[in-house]
Amino acid sequence: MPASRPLFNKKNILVTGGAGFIGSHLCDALVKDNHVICLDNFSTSSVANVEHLLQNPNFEFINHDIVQPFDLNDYPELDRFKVKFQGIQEIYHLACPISKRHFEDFKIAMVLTNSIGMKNVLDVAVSNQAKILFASSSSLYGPRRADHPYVSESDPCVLDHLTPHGSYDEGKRFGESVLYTYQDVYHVDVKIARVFRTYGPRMKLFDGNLLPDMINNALDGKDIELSFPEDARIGLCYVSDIVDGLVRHMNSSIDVTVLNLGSDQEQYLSSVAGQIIKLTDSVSRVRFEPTTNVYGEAGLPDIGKARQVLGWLPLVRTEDGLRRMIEYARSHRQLTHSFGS
Amino acid sequence: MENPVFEKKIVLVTGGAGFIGSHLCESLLKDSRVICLDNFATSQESNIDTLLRHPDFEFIRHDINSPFDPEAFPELARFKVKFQGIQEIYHLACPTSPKRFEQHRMQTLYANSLGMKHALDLAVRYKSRFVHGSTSTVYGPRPTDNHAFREDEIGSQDTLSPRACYDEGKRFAETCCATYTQVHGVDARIARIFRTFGPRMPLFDGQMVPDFVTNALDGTDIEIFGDANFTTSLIFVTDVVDGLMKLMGAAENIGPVNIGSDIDMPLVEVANRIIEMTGSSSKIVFRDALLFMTQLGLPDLTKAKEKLGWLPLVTLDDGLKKAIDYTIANKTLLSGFRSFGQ
Repeated sequence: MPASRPLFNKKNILVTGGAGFIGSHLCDALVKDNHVICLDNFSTSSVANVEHLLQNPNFEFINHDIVQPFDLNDYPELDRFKVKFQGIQEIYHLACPISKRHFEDFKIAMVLTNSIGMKNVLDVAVSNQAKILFASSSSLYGPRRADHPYVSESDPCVLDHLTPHGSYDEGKRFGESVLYTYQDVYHVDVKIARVFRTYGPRMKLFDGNLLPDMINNALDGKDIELSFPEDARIGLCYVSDIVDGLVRHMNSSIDVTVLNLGSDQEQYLSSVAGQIIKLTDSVSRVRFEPTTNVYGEAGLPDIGKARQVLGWLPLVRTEDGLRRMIEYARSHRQLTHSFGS
Repeated sequence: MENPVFEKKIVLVTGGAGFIGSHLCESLLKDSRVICLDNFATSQESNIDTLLRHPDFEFIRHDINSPFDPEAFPELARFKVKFQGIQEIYHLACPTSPKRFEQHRMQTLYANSLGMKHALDLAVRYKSRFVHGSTSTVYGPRPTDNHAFREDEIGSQDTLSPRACYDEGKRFAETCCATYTQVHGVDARIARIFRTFGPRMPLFDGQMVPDFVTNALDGTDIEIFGDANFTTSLIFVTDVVDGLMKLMGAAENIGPVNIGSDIDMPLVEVANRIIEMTGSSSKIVFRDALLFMTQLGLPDLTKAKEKLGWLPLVTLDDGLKKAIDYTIANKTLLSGFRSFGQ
């Protein structure tokens, strides 16, 4: 396919939500061969995630909330990427506030980010004729069904859009519909990655997330309390695998739209906890205290399509991923804890 | 209601020049001051022509996809919105056009996101009670077993379809209502409106029933977009208006409520009734189905009956008779729309 704009020595790539957990790892990967414009407003992300990139000549950071329209030509700091001449070639759209602990505080922001924010980013894609990849979520498939644990891209998405979680779940669904409509109307090349449970360094340590909580408790020698049944199983995908999948997805042919990205290898939660205890040399014990989990665990991804189309599958062994995450937690938790986040 | 209410409450109707909106404005004028907001995306000025001279009616031409500040409009000064606020908001604005659906895809997206936000922001600002005109399509297509949809049915829609801007958009709009209720305490009520018919329905736009009437009166072919198995329920527009007002007036927010008819009817039969009632010589012909004119499911009306004391009152025959009378009375005017619509 002929490029509609002359390609300069490096692609200009916009990453929204680039200071977030997955976004910052994505910036790390892209900055090697591309100019990366990282856009974030730190609503639930952290400058610490991209601090090491700020001196990189291929990296530029813009503090902006995508709910407000933006024009990259308005930023003189992007002149060195020749954005006015070259435009941008690719957009990874990851921006969406997410906080397990402070979910309530971000409901309106979630609704607006997935609608008006999505529109503003797509308008940039249209004016630049850029490809766009949207990080969607496993949550839009609805909760896991016992008779049908694996979900594939063509499965119906059955979820209640009026629950206290609707701002996120339905927000992501509508986000996909906005993308589809732009593709339909403006012929934008859109990609949708439905990302399943991901873990790794830079995941927020004190935000009520399952793995960071387990690791913190292990490091503190406290009991690991799990509000799941004892035979609960989860799929866990290490962040670098997800980043690899996103980049491959972006570079796939125009007819590829929706793909699941995640791990289809179920593991017992008890065994994950056991590994964490072992890797941290902890005295912690695991206790299961099942509660009625209102929103339910997401399904597991059928990743046959990603495997076939992208030649992708998760490679990082859980033990290695957990080890790196524990290292990160060890070196960062005192720091973040003392700032009260 | 926290604002002091003066002699009459002030009611905002977005999409007030539309088919349902204009009938609603008319009913509201009995005891309220009405601010009718519309941008004529798929509605008609003629729908509110007779209302324009009413002292309690004010029309503002505005696209709700841009923020709306009622206090910035001098024509609203006489309603004293700044002091009295707005007591009720009916949010009906959303382009709908089976034949020109494609042209309105972006506007449809905007209406269900930007427009929704701006309408809800007004409800926050004035602490207004809010009724959102949602649709039966949030449940998804007609189920194969033909069961009637109850309000607690979760429903499902394809997020990635040419219709998603409407189908998924309307689901998202409901989520906006729920989120504003959760966060800002807005009393946002949701009416899921099923297929409606009656006077002022756009002609030659693929809505079928109004065209059936016109074609029957002209003796031209009656076109059904689909086959002989196309069945639908039809509710007369004044019943919908009554339902919307009862929902607004209910003592508490009872969650989403179905407003529609639960009587399923083959379109062929509807067409034959019209032919019979008009003594027409028209023939029924079948055309390819339209993307935006599909068989919809049927409502379970238990909740509306029990909680609102509402049920459809106008029979199909009576409704058709009114639609026929309206078409005859406005034939000259309406014939102008024929060339416009085609």
